[in-house]
Amino acid sequence: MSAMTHWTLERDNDGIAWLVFDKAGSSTNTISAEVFNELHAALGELAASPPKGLVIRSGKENGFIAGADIDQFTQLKTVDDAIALVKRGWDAFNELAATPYPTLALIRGFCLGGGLELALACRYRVVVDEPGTRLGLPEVMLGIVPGWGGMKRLPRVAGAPAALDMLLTGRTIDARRAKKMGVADECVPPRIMMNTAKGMLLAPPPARTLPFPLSLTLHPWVRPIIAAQARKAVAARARREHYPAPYAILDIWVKHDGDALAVPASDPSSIAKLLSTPTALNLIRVFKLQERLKSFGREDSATAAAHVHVVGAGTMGGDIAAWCALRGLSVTLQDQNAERLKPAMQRAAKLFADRLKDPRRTRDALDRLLPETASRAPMSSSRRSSRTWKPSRSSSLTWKPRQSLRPCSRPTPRAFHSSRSRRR
Amino acid sequence: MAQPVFVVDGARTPFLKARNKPGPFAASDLAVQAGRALLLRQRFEPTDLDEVILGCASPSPDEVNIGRVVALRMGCGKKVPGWTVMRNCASGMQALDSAIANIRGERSHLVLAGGVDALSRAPLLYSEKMVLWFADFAGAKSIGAKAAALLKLNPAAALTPIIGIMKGLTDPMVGLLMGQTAENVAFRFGITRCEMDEFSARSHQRVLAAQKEGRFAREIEPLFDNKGNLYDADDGVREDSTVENLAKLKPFFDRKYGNVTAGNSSQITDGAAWLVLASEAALDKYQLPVLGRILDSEWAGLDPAQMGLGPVHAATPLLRRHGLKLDEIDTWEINEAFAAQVLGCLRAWASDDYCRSELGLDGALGKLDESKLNVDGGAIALGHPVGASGARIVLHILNVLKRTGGRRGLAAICIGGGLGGAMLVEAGRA
Repeated sequence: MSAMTHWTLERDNDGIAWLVFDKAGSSTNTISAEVFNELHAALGELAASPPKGLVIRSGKENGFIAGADIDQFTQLKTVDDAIALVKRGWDAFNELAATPYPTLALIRGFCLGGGLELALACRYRVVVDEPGTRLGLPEVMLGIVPGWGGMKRLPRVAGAPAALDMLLTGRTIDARRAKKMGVADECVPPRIMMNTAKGMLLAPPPARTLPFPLSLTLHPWVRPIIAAQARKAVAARARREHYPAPYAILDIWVKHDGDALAVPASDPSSIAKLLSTPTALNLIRVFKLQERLKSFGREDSATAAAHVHVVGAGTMGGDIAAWCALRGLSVTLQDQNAERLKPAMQRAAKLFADRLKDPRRTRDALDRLLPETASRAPMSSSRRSSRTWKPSRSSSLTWKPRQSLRPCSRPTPRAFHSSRSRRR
Repeated sequence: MAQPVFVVDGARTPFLKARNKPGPFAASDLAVQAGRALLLRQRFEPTDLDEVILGCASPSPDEVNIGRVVALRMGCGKKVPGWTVMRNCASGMQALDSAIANIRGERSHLVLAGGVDALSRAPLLYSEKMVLWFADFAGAKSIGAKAAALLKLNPAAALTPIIGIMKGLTDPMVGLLMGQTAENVAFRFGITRCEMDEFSARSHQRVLAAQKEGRFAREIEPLFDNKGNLYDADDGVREDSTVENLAKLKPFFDRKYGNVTAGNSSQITDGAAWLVLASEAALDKYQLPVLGRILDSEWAGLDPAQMGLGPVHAATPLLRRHGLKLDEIDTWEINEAFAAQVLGCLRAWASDDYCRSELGLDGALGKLDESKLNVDGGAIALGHPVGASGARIVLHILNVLKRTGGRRGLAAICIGGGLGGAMLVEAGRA
């Protein structure tokens, strides 16, 4: 085996090659120039003695591939650098797509941007049915376009309408939706993911084809019609001079079948023009700030809290409570009487149903959210006594929400108080 | 005498009357909503429980071991065993008794035990004829065979489901509806329609009075459904259930000429009730308060056709074992399955003949003071979610003792199939 730092390549006894992406020096898989070089080398090695099939999977616990290494974009100095960056990925994934042996991406956890473009260059995609599995092309949210083949290949597996929705909004989909849309060929639980990957390659099924009506959406005569519809939706949200990326995606798909490199430099959809506006750099900055904010959350011990007590079931308090329950915390939501809790509980039930879809997960979220009233007189006597108990909650938390945040007790700094008076 | 078992706390849902369609909550929803609120105010973690035991007469097919389902849903964690017990109308009392046995055997120290049923969600079943037809249809391979099977479908059988709850309320040995066994008891002791209706009207009045004074509030945890509705009170009780109005109802079980009506029977209801039971060691470990103690319990069997007299057969040996007379109990709860059946129990104790022939006593045990019986009303007004009732009356009797300063209480329940259950409790720790 050649010396690779980010990938490992192994062949099993059945002649299946396993290419595992485990980016060195990083907790998350992102795609850099070096990663492409090694992928090219690995594919060259496989070309020398073709395997029965190739599985590409992640060696990281947290997901498949988060996308391109964002720092590459901010370090670009010239337009030529940018074009070279796009070309590198476009060529690498075309090479992957052209292999004579079947290829399969085994996707568990996030699979975003360049990660999904890599997966789309494989003949098959197997997604693991877990809440953490999310597929998407969020480039548009950074003001750039998925130039490594995503604009070309996603419409071919999902049909133009669904693909454009993902491309233009950056919205991600879960494993089941991926299977339903045709982005994935199989959606399986972790326990059979390896068997599925291997089984598909040992007896490769015919490549999926789009159902006839959806295949029409790719026809050169139909594309402009669909793009015009999509453009209206885009225009309703932002003007081209402020947010050129979605317009560029539509142009590149309609006129150049998703090949960003084919766009003349003078065209407003060209890479050169996209990078000449400050939009992309500003959006990348926003993205990095968001990531930084999220990392604070991971460091802060508050996120290790198991229970949150929310005082005030108004719109803000109720929704904070619901959100905490949605994210797996146990929550008590308190207000003066049960009447005030009713709308909050109704909104929470709707939020859980909309977000979680699965009825069991919806039920579990509802079970975590417990409405409490402060003014049930006969009960309060026993509760008052409960307040004098020392908290027994033996978690590692720095705060004791259950007992310390009882009505009339001194508010603790971490309590989420929602002020009714500020609601207009 | 075996060591007492302590009751730390308890809670129940409001009892929601079945209104001819599935109610807003599944049995597990009821048990979870009451149980999680109860657990939240304890000094221990839900994961500190040694086990969760839930009585349920009719769990739905997707929650057969409902005790385990709700333990997990209440956040007790995967390591706390949860299980389900079934003794028809006394399933909730059986759950308490199973907890008591394990605490006395020192297998458990801290147990959440209770009962639940969502009778409004009792299933509709296909008749045997239809089940056989489905089997034939599924077995038919060719389109022709399927068509032939379709022709054999009897639309009447297909559209006439068996009402699951009527099956459940029919004694499988003697083929009598529960209400017909109450008619038997009424016939045996000459209990009149008017007496039944008076008893029932009083049950409604007592529940209304108790609601007015907030006596149930300390044991009820309100329920919220997903549509923003709140259920915070027992909803089967009626202001207009007077003797005059009850007298207008038609007999339901023995049609036309019977005496037992829907009005002098318990209601079909959804509800859950829980108690936290602890050993003395657990009291000390977690410094738990004590609502009362369960001193002893007793189960008895009798003629299924007279099942309503079960409380007499279970409570009598309990009283004798502790050397207690009827009037040495400060407050009584006898579950009101039927007015005829509760009144029958009182007549049986007052009858020399019955006490001699059926209980092996020398003579009548005595007269039970009705002012001490079901002081806050009972299942005729509140409803009888069968699995929950046995736990509810034990919880409520402890709350009554606490409120009135009484010492001893006895809770007893009749059980479809010819059984009776009883528990002797005392207020406080000592």
